[in-house]
Amino acid sequence: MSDCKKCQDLFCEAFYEELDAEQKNFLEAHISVCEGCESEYDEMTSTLKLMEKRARPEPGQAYWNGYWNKLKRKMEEEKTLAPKSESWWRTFFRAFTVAPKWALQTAAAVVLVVLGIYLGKMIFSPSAPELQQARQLSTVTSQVEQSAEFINRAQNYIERSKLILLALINFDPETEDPYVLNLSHQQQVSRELVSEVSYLKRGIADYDQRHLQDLITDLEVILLQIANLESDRDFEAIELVKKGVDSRGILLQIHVTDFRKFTKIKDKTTPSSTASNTILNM
Amino acid sequence: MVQDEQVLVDRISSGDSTAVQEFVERYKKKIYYVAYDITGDHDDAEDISQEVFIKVFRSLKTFRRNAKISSWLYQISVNASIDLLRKRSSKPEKIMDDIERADIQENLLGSSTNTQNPERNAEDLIIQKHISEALKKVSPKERSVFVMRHYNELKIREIAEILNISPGTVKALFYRATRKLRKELSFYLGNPGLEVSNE
Repeated sequence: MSDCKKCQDLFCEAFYEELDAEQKNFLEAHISVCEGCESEYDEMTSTLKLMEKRARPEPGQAYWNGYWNKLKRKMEEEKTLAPKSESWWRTFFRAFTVAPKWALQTAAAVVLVVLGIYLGKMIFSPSAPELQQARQLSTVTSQVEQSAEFINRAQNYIERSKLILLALINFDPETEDPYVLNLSHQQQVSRELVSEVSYLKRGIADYDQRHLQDLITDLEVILLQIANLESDRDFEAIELVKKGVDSRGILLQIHVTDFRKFTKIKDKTTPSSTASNTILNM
Repeated sequence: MVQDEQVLVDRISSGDSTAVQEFVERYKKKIYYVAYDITGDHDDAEDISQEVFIKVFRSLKTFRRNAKISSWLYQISVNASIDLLRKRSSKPEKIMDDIERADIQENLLGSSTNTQNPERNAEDLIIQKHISEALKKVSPKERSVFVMRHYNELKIREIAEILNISPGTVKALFYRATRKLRKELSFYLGNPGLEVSNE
């Protein structure tokens, strides 16, 4: 430590005359030869002397006489309050006064987000009965869609079969050229229709449509016979098919089915849906 | 702990209410003045000093027997005062305290009758006001060191114990505070007409 630093280190005690003899001698010897330290010491001394001019206000004897009573009252108040355990909400709100600002801001943001999600769910989400209704409607819609598809295919099957049968029944080999019948085309269509029978039968089984099932089965037999005709000149076989159509009353059944418009399917598939009624009442 | 201090503390611990009052009477002024010197406000000093006593009586059982009780009291008081100043650092400064104003006026009147020199007393009044303002410009810790040393006559070693810092740091803080005060009050220190004297 340099002499200047050592000297300045003693200023704080020198002013209050707290230096021992050795320290005092060192200080005096140094400032007598060091102008910088002498100047610094003088400035410090003059500042401290000026600071002594500060008059500390005296509250007065009356104040000091009443000090104990005031403190006693305060201590009694504290004692009265102390045994009471702090309520949970006071503790809760105290946490808010103690917690740092950033923590409060984060907490507020989280509360707002949670509240927003909750309100959003409450206002915009469907209630439980609504959800159940929506699920029921979805199931019914799905059933209606399935039944509509089945109906379309069944109608198509019957219509196309009817055209083949009519072409065959109205064919007169004595007056018409077999070319007009175009048996190969009729056979091709018959095969296509027979391939659909298994699907249609499953659908009918689901909807418990006995008469429709009979009709499709009868048509299947006739279409198979047509598909298996060996030649458009085999008039005898053609005549057998005609008799089969007649004996089974297939055309009559087709007319009856057209009339019914699958009303029984409607009853089965529309327990509560107006949408399905609209489709099935075709 | 000094012998009589220890006896007093033991009496308080055993529930002697007269010892509590005795304790307060012994230390009330020391605690009040150091709090006043740091905060510069009578109400704050009163609140802090009373809180110090309440705190001390509440935790007297935990007090270390080998420590000096006055140092402990100062420590609580100084820390409470510094905390208060830091909390208030962003708020506007309070207008001169009523007691301070009344006291200064009383001093002025009293002095004028005694010295029959009202001009000199008015001048002192202004200097005192400027000194108080200059003290407020010094940081709370520097101010605490300065007032404990200069106005409460505490030794460097005691201040170091109270603030839990080294004596070297106490000296450095005192030196820095003095330099800042000199800068704030340079008008008086550089003016030969207002030369400081020990009159």
